[in-house]
Amino acid sequence: MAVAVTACASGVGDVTSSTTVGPSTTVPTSLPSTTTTDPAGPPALALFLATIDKGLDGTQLEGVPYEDPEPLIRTGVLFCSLLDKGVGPVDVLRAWVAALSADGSTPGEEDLLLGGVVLGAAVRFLCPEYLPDLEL
Amino acid sequence: MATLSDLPDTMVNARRVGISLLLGLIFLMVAMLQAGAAQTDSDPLGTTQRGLRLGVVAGSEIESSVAGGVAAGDPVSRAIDVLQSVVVRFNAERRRHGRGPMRAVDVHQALVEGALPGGSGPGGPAGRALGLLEKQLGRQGQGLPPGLARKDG
Repeated sequence: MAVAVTACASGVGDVTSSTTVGPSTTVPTSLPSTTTTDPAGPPALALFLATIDKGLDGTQLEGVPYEDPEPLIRTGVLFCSLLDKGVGPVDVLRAWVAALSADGSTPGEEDLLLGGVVLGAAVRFLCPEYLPDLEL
Repeated sequence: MATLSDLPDTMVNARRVGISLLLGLIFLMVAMLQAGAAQTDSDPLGTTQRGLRLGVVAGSEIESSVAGGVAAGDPVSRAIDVLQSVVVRFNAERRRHGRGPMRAVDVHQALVEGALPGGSGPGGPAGRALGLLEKQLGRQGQGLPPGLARKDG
């Protein structure tokens, strides 16, 4: 099954086409420009990062998306690839909890929240086709 | 009947100080209990689901906020600046290796593909969780973390 990471959002930014990378990963070949005057709107990645920061408002992780964006982008893409493989959103969250607990420690609340916020932001802006799958 | 005013000033002050200390101690204990509750979680999955809702709601708000354009200082504007700095950093690295710069959209594309080395990651357990999940899934994206069942279809 191909992993489709469609870096677009409804009404904000478009992907012009996509290509297959490796045996199972389909990624868009074009992302929206970062120009703020772009009529297509801000790039999906910017919306994704801003959403995570807003979702983490009031926690100690607030500001992390602006300080260190790459790992959060990787996490979002990873979550989208799991959804594309047929893993349900709740099981994606279970995987996050399991990974946090892998060393036997009890996961901290903010680290748990982070996984959920990243999944929400990713589904919203990186793989919006899974938005209907979210039971909120 | 004796009142506070009948007591020597030093005794009244001592009582006031004692009461203040007691109240302070109570507040401190409550704060410590709250801090302890914040560090651990009895319903981890429920907390991630709360995060999911926060993320989706935040996404709607961010999307609405950019409907009229992006102004300097807005969260999205900050994120755009951050992405630009990633591009600048990436191209500086390319220059050091004698290679030409890449367009911003191509650098973003490489980010989405996971082709660029990431930063240090969200500090602590979250960073380790990401690393572990990536390891389980492999760089090519095949395989699922143990225990994850595929949905039908």
